[in-house]
Amino acid sequence: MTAIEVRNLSVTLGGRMILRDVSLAVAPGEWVGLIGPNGAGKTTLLRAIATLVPRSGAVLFDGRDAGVLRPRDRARCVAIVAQRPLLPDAMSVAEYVLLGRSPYVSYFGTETRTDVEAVASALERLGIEGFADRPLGTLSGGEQQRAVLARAIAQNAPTLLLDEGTSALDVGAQQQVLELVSELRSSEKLTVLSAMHDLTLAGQFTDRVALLSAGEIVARGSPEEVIREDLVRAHYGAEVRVTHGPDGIVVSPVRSRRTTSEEVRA
Amino acid sequence: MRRSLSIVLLVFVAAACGDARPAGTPALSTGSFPATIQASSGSVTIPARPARIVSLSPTSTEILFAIGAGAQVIAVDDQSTYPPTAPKTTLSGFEPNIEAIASYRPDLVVFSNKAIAEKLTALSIPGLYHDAAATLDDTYRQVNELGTATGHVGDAAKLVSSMRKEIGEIAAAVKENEGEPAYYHELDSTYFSVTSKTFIGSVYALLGLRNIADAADAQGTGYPQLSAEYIIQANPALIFLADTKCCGQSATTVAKRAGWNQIDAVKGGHVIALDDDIASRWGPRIVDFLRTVSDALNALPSAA
Amino acid sequence: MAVASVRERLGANRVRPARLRIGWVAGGVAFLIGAVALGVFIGPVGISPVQALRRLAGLLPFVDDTSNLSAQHEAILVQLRLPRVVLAAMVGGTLAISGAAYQGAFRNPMADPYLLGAAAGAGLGATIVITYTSAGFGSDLMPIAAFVGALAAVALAYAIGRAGGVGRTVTSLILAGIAITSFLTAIQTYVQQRQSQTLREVYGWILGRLTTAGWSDVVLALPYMAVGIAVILSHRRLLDVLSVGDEEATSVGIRAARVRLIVVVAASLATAAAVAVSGLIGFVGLIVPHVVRLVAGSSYRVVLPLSLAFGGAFLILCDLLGRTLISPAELPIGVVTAFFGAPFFALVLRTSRKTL
Repeated sequence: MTAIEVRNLSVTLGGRMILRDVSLAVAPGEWVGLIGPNGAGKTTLLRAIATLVPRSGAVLFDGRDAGVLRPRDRARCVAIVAQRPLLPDAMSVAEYVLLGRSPYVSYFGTETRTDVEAVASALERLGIEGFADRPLGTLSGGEQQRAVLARAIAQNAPTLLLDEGTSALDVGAQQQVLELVSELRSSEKLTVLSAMHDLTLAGQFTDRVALLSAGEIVARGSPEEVIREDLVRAHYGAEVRVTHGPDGIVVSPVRSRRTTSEEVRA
Repeated sequence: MRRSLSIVLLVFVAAACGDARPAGTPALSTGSFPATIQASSGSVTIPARPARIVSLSPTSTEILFAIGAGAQVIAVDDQSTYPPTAPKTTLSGFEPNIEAIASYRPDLVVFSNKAIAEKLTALSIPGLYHDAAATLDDTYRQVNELGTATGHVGDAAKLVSSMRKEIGEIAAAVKENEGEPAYYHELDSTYFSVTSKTFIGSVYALLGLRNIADAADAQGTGYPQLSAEYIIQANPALIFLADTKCCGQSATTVAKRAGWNQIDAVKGGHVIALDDDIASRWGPRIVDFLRTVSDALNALPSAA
Repeated sequence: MAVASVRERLGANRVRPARLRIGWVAGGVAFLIGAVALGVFIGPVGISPVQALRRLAGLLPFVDDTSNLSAQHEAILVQLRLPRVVLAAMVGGTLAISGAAYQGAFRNPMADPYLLGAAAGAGLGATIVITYTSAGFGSDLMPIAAFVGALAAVALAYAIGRAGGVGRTVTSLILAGIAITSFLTAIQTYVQQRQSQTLREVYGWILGRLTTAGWSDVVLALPYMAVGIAVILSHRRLLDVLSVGDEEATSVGIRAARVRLIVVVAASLATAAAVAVSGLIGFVGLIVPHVVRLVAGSSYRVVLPLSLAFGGAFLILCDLLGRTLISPAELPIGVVTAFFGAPFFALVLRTSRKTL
């Protein structure tokens, strides 16, 4: 039983076909990384899986068709961390994380003790329990990112969709968040599908990788199989060198030719 | 200069001739032309008996027809509703369009909007500016001026004297009341009223009525706005509604107003619906207005 | 184990869902009652407060009326001032809570209850009645025309805005509202120009007035306001969820567009009823929620109920000023709310430490 199964997914937005007949399967507990150049459709794919954009094709969570699920039930299956989340400046961190409990609160009801404890636990997990009363607007970028992740954790869904959640962070914060996700994956048995820019991090943290280019998956497999110099050259248009470090592959950009100052002036 | 001098001379001669008639002969009922009128805005000369009069003021229309000059009127403005036979057009007295007026080729224009005076002069059309009267004497003056201007001097004089006589009779027939009964004259449904300084207020005063709005006019505009509380507190014995046509008010609607059923006028059924037009014009029908008011006053129960 | 003890140490105290604290509720109620008292005891006609209190007490069941007011004073107190104060509280509270609801539904701090054209529609309905029929103020046709006009305008704005595509719903709704407002206002201005003799009546209505208030107005508006306010209050948690954006709200299981529609319909219904009986009173719906946010917090669980109380009190006080400053004439209440509300808001803005 796959945690996420995507079959023949196509998405057309604004007259343009962003995703073309995409199929993907993620096993429970797996961490699959989505890589690809800008505009390939990674964000759109994640949003389509979360049923946030209209699509054709099927998306199944644990075998259940996402299209027929009520939004509440869908929210209990999958949590998404958006690329640029909207954070109301005046809302406190605790209130924000509490929003993640919405799938469990009745329409006209209010949060229960269980919800409050889930929030407390999520805050601790991400090490921001000290910020519980602080307004979101007063936090740094890294702290905000952790608040968003805490909200996704509080949602208690078995599947986590991460959209470039770490790209705005400095290298230390990036590492922390990804380590955290990795820990949560083992402790909470999460399934993770994340869109990533940084190919090295993608190689280090994920189990499998899918390369999305121009709306289609052009390669899938282990990081070693997919993150190859020729594929990177073909789809990113970049020159890189892929080496194998102790923790996984390392992708480093290569300057094959230096433009000399004489050539610039000529 | 020579020309106007000879006209003035002509007028003097005509007047002298008039004076020379033996006593007992009635004054010329038609008047003579060219006629000069010393209006408040300057003198106006009408060269010949006008046969194409345009009236842009509803009151002037009423006066013109009342003095027998109706046949000489070819167009009246869109608010001139009386008499019904008056040739109503789409001309506006508030926003006069000089070209539209000129298209009627008038030889006399009677108007109440000063803005048009210059344009008439520019087109050499004789114009008579009659703005709102402040007192009954103003009304009588306007009647006489229109009589002179249209060649109905005698008819105008007759109208003035009959108005004076009727008004005098009505005022005399008012029964004795202890003190002055208070009245409220309503202009519109936002409780705008008039004070005794205004024309209509001064007419009410002829019958010995006391206006509840007089105390409320701190700015002296003559048209203060009252509030429901003030009116209820003042407890007028008579209420006159001048907003029956414009705003649909009547004795019934007044009785429904919150708290108004404690006012003497409402309790006793002394809420009188006036014709909006009669209450806002200063023409011959002011006599009808006064009669309505005196009837209401006489219908009041005598003070114990 | 370490985790458990940490949680014990923290307790659930550090994680507090925004709650409306009792202190604020008491404050709001006290403010409202104070405003009601001032509104009832003060007016162009002097009525002894003691007698007034006795008469009001006499209105309660099982309490004897021991007042000795004249028939006129009693009429003024019970038939004029009391319903007027009650109506001011209802209208002020409705406009404030509807404004807050609109601000939450559209995630826009500049929103007010007239965003989708309710004011323009009501204004046009009232203008047409005043100008083309012989009915005027105080007629039964006026409130109905204003009410229908308000709702029709909102429905039209929604119909046009929905066509703007899924992803741009909020923006396209706001733009549709602006378009409808401009269009209907243009028609209204044209009608006013053509029939300028009714201009004063029309303007009197547009600037807002509570002078025709009697108990009949209260009864007329109450059901719609009550329903609208109840629905808005019951959605306070959902409006908080909506504040993180439609997509994210959907991702935590909320049907964002549907919640928005319900809240907007409820707020528009209540606003239409308010506008029908009191004309167009501006400023309250926009500013009162912001003042509440600045002093008490920005969660809608706090803002919605407090806006109701403070909006009502604010309008009672503005009405009081309007009818006593140039007594016996009255300042249009729309003028008073802006004239005194704006400096007050500026003061609160300067002295507040919270962010908006």
